[in-house]
Amino acid sequence: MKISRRTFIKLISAVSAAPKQALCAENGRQNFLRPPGAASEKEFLERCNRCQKCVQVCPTNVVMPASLSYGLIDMNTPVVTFKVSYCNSCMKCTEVCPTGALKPISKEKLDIGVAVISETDCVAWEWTGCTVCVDECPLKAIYLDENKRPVVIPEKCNGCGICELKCPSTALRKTTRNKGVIVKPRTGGVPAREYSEEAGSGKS
Amino acid sequence: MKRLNLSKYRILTLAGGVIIITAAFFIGTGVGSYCTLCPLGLLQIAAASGSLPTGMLFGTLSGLIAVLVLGRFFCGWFCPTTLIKKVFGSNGKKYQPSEKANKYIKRLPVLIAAGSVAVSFLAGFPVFCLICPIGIFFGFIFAVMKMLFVLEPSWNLIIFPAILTAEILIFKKWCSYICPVSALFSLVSKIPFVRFRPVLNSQTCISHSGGLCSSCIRSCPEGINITENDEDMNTKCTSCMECIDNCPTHSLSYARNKTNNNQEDL
Repeated sequence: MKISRRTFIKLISAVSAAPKQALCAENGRQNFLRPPGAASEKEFLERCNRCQKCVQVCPTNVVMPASLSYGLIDMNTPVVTFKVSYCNSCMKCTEVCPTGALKPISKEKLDIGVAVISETDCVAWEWTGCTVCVDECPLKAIYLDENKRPVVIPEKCNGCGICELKCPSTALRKTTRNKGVIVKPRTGGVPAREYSEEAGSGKS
Repeated sequence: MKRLNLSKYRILTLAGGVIIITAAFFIGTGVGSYCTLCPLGLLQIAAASGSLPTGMLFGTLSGLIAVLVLGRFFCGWFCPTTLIKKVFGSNGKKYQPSEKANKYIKRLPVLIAAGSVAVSFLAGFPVFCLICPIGIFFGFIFAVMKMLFVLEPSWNLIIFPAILTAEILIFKKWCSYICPVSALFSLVSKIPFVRFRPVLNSQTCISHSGGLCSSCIRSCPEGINITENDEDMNTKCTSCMECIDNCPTHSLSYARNKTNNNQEDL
């Protein structure tokens, strides 16, 4: 194949125009969870080399490689899913990461995301009676309001995912396809987590 | 003396590494895949994030010291690409570019290595890791694990084998014309040090006494001209032991290679 000078210049200009949209790691707009210890999404992508060490070490199998549908750049990077298990805050993934994409942090500072009650899918918001997430939460970060509906305290939630795992909404309602409470990344308006010594240690 | 057919044991090492890395997932030990020792990954992360990943340094440096002594041994004994080639690949005709093209194409892997570090700096994430067959191979293994444990089949199960097939089985010359990781190994093994390579005993070699034998050259997956002190021996040899096992007169042995020093003396 012969490339003329004109095609070459076209190619170069196309490649140099591409990065901003196609190559650069995008900030915000992210709707999935990173393993504990990931500072910011930009810093995480800068450092993660997709070595799967955190995936190997996770005892509860919540850290899993992202599929292509998460985005081309995020492909194969570790993400957290609470489909079959929850984070037991062993913090092993932060310890083994060789690249510094996950920074070693203490259990008390664990902050994967924040649980968000979906008012359309939550059974207790539609009709009182279900208190599963309130009972299961180890941090007492979910309480029942005066109408017996669960409400999350974002400052207390560390996103361990027990509530999402145990939420029975899909089993209780034939029409509901989503969990009534879903852990989402902490963005914009959500207040930061307040760290306390007792949190996560089982004392509270 | 009955010789150990080392090239037969090579597939055990190749598969063994993959099995250990997969088993680590079941046991819950973070041994990491080969990516934790990747020198190109280290450079790319350093370029993208502007700071050295200290957790990787020790492993990568000890790997590079082994490369100083043994050359591109990783390619022959550990790289999953070689495993795929051994299991699925056919021993078809080797594509040999013309002399003139070869001169430029030989530099391509080093250019790709430099280019991927530069693009990582611009884009802000390790770019080559996206298409690296080593990472994609382990990505596929863990995508299978994801399907089994989280019951979440992903597109990776289809895309990754497709990329691997395209890179390794359809485009057969990935390792010698693209792979920037092995290019870094070649660069490192250019540094003079105690080198262990196949060494020819010219007393018993058939082609040195005027006979027609090229078993070693034909068996060499890298196309190194073994009988004539090829300088590629120092940089390209993957220590796969194929030439040693194929030599009919047992003239090749794996030992300290001093030939280059002798050449300088003469």
